[in-house]
Amino acid sequence: MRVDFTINNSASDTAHYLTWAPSPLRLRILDAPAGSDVQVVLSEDRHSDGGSIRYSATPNGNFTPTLKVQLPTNGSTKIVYVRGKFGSPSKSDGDVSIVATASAEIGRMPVMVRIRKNADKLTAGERDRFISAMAMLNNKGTGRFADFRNMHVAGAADAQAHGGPGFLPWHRSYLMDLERELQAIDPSVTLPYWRFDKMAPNVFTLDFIGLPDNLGTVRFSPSNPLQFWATDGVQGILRRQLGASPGKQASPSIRTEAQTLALGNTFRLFRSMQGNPHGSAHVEYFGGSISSIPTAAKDPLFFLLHCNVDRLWAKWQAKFGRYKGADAASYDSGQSPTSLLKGHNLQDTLWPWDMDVAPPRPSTAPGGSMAASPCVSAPGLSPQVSDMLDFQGLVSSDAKLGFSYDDVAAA
Amino acid sequence: MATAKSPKSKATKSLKAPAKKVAARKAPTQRGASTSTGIKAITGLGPKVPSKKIAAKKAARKGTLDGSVDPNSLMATAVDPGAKLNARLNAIVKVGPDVIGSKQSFDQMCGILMDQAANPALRGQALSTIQAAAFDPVAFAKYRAQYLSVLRQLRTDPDPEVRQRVFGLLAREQDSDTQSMLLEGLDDPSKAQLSPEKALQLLSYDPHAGAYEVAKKIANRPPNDLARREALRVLAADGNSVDLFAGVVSDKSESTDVRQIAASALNHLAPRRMQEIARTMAMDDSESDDARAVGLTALAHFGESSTLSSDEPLREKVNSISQSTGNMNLRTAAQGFKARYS
Repeated sequence: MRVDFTINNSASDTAHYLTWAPSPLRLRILDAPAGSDVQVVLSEDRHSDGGSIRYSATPNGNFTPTLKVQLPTNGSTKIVYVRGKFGSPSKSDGDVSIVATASAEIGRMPVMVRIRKNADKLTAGERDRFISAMAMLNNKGTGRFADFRNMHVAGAADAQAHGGPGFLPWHRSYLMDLERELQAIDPSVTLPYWRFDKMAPNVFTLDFIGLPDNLGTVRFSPSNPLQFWATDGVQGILRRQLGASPGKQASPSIRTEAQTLALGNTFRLFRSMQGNPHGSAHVEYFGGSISSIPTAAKDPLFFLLHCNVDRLWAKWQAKFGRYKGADAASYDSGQSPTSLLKGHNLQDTLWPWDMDVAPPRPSTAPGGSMAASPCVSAPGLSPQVSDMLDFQGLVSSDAKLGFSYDDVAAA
Repeated sequence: MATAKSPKSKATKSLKAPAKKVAARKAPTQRGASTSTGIKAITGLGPKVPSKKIAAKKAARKGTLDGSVDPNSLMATAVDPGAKLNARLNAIVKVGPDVIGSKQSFDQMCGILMDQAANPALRGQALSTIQAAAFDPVAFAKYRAQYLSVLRQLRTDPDPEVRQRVFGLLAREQDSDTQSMLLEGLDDPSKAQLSPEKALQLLSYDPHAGAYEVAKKIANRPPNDLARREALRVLAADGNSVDLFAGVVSDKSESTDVRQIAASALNHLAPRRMQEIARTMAMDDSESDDARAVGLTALAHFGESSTLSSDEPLREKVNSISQSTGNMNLRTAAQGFKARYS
């Protein structure tokens, strides 16, 4: 007798990844003698510093370390729910397993509580997997990363990304698309965030995001694959330090997390963070590519910076419960459903994933539709602005986007 | 070094420090550091601004980064030559994105930036504040033309830090006039506003800037190591430079820094040739540990998996390296290779 597991509605190994949001776990008894239901206890088996998981019979129920489940012997399935225990993310793939026990263990499936983390606190393994996946996605400037580079440029594309209240949703979609491409290379990878309001000594090193010399050319250790970074046919990364290194000192000109979260309880007020801390983080520490919109995405640091911008939005959403598009305080909608620049109204599709190239959209749509996730179905190939709000599926479980932050609970 | 010699040219003659004289006053080498000192008062960590019965200064002092203070009051402090430097810096920071809240504020901030007599830290913070506001392009659109005009005027500013920053900003906009100035400066030192290595670096933002010819000349007859390195970076997009990079990456007398750039360039321009060279480096016990690490990192991430997975001698060598080397970079690279091809 054994138990067959299906998680996230997929039989693929690439779906064995959890966040703080509940994932459906289908259980089925195989090779059982006919008879009455079998009682199975679900528990976890975790590495000493591995992730931790919790179970519940329902998505909104009480999640506990173990769960008793009655499974029929006729092969039909039963659905329960599993999620990562907030505060206990995984450090490596499969460092925690779902274990099913009857009189003895009858099933086991390694999973990962895959969570976006503070870049300054990654293990060496997490760091190396991330930079390795980034380097391979870019593939010396010839890879899929070029599409992401071409999405974040001047002109009409700039207006889609930055020209209105869609700034935060657009970048959430952008990061998610990139992260899914990274996970297609290495499913254990998530985007880390750079807390630009804190000193980050472990980020600004030769082994991670690189160190600029006095001229502003970024240098890497000989074993760092980012040394092969190239964009637009040009080798290397330009990032000139203007003052103290963020590895040694945080800039007091950049709004802190507390100041940012205190901007106001409506999205209209909160989105002023586009200037400070967002714009300030782009320009206060460094000149070079990251300090200008047309070139910012040439620097991998850009994605760590924006991951923190997105995390701040996520924290603000959690603080005030701003997940519903229908709630006026959750988004800065215009006077009518179409009054804002196309791409910024709540029900607009987001460029370039919608592949709309008619004005006022840009004339090209680099990269095409949104990368699919093996773990979640949302937001589909052509996301809308509204799809970006309920990222942990708190309003509708079907809306979850498949990522969580280490310090933003799904509750 | 495997680079060919070429006749001395106008470009190579120009490879001296910029001839332009700069102002006698001290230029900021650590702009952020001086700025940080001034801004500490905002967060209550630094010295407080002395109390004065001037409304604008009070506003600047009381304000926080929540933007709750009237921008006009803050700008009044920012432009007040009688106010203390810290108070003026604080005011500029607190104005933040509101610098584009009115034409007057923007003009005043540009005035600080263009004031050659102003403290360098003030000018630097004014530029950063305007730059940050540019990250909201729709709101910034009506100021953009004026902004670019100001930047162009500052290309001949006596402060080298200001020049360097504005040239960088304009180069990233692929401003053709700025690219022409950079090329002209490489060709004629009397017209150079930046060092040759900086000019080359900024020209590398645009592979179509027409810098290959001068970069080749500089790579062959470099005035200093940095200029040569930047010339190589420019040439990394030049399909005619494959042999140059193959020579540099294989040359054991070159620095690791330069061999890294050459490896990256070759990996992009001629990946199979890079793979062959990287294999040779990995198998060569007389090669430097760091150079072998560069080669193995290239193979692990960008090599042809079908070729590498069947290359038993290489796999055995890498296995041996990973067990015996005391060099952390080489061990990391070897382990990375093994993880992919074991």
